[in-house]
Amino acid sequence: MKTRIFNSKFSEIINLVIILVIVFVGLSILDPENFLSVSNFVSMMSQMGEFGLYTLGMLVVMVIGGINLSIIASAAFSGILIGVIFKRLIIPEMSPIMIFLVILLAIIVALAASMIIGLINGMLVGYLGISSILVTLGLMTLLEGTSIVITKAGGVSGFPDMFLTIANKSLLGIPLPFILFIVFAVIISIYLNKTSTGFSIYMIGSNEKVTRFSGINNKVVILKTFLLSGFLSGIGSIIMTARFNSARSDYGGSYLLQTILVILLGGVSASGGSGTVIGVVLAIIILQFLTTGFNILGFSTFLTIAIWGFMLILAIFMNHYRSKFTRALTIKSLGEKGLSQKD
Amino acid sequence: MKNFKKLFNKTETFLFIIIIVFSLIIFSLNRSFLLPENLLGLLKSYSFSGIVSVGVFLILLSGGVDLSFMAITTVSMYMMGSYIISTSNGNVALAFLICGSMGIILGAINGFLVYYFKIATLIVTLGTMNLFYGVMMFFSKSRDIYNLPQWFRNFTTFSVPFGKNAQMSVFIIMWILVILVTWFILKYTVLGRGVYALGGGGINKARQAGFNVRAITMFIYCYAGFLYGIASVISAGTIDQILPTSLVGKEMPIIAAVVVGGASLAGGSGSLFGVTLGVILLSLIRNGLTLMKVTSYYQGVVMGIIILVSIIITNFRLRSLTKTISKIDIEY
Repeated sequence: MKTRIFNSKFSEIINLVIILVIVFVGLSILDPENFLSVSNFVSMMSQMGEFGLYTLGMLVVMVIGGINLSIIASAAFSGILIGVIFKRLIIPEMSPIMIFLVILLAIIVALAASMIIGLINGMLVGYLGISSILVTLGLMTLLEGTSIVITKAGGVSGFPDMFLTIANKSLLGIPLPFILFIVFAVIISIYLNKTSTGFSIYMIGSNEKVTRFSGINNKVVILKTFLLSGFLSGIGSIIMTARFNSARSDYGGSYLLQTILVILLGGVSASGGSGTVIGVVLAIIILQFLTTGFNILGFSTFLTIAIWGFMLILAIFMNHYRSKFTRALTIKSLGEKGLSQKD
Repeated sequence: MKNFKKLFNKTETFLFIIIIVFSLIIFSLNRSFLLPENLLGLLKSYSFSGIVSVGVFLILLSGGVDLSFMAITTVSMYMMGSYIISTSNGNVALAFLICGSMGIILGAINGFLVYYFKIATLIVTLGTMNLFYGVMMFFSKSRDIYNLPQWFRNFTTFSVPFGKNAQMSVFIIMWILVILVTWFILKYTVLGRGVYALGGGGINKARQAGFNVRAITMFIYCYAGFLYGIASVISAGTIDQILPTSLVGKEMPIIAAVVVGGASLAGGSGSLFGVTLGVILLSLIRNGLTLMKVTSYYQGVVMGIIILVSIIITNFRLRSLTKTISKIDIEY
């Protein structure tokens, strides 16, 4: 039984690796000069940073069987808070230590704001039992509105150089955003697989009633999940703000669909309860290759939108048939042991 | 007394009271607000949201959620627009036929994906929204359509005299017809009762009760698509041109109106009357904010607060309702 589960997870990852290789080889053949350049890889890696963190934030909520539509709006809002703090507190003749303190303050405020937003989501979903779609939709509208009010539909820009190093610095040629993304991916993977809360997240996603009757406090776990989601979107927001050197209410708008797309491509079931971080990371890399490829090939924005929509539906098809297939396998193996599975 | 209490428990009553209060506030700011011609003019401008929200409500009622409606409306509108400017002897019936059937086809794609893949409707419609819109914009090169023919303009500006100097636009008549037909379907046909069963009990329970779940699912999405399609005539008629970028991205106010109207996202509850009141209330608030010279920046904040407050109220209301129905809650 254990090997079978391992096998099905493993085959999923093998599938993704195969797709990754196909996309990589395809783009390398189509435009080797632009695609295979070092600068292209560096820029792809730094773009993956914030997007990857948003996706991780969406992933934990989708594993528990919900959805967090406010994740991007929350990140844009935190980014604007960072911008406002810089605008208000940084004066030209400031010493580097003071600038450092202000940056620290801005980062703390941004993370705190994201986590408070996560907390509100978690309270409404976990304790009041309102559907996560509605709660996060409401909060998304509210946050977008608030961001527009703060910025007067404009942007905040001109941040201290020290802050920008978060996005520009690289270690051994690898951009810092990408390193942050990988570090958090590892942490989340360990959290989901090796801690009891992580296990509860999977269990609540697959059957909420059973966990309630087996003594798991669903409310607290849901709250923690949304808190974690908010925290990850806050980290993503810091990277995004540093990378763009400005903050606007509509930054990251196209990410919302893409995070869901990537998570489904990565083999997470839309109803929750399954999915691996490594699968999602592979899917993120595939999507990044494709985005860059479409850019290089000069596809129009609308064609790209249509392709994302099509891929989302394709991912639904794939997941459907995969789950049907694994289900058939499970029933067969149970049948061999003389057990029967009820619907 | 009991009837009174029952009335007090309804979302519709609350909405009605809030609408009256809000109207009085606007009236105190602007004395011409309550004149029949002004009210009918307002209703005319709400009729697009009104018709679309009926479709959104139906899908919500069945336990799903639709994000693709503006994309479906845009595609239907564009198809109709390209037809009516290219033909010399078109007529209104043909225009309706084109946008209505376009809506049905796109709705059927949604319904097919939702029924056969049993996947969260939010994700399906998020995908189809981007697919429909992206494909259309790619092939149409996002060109606007001007110079709509005279017969189309004659239809969209047609109105029935109402009272002394008020005019009831054909859009309002369409809206009322849609509400009446949908109300009849929901209340008196097997399909309509099935929509409630599907939303309230889920696929398995609806099937056990003897409903044809496939037919109901396809009907809901096709009928909603049809409503989105015919609403596109209003959208084109109001601004007298067809702008493919004017609708997509403005889904939230409509979903908010439906939710404020008392529809629960869990499905199975809500009424057409409540949804209509929700549409009127949110549109009134938007008009009122403009009238009170509140900058448009604050509209998102106000909308967000209204959505959050109303879902929390609906949640508590449903909870107290289930408490009075049964004390013992054993689920399988």
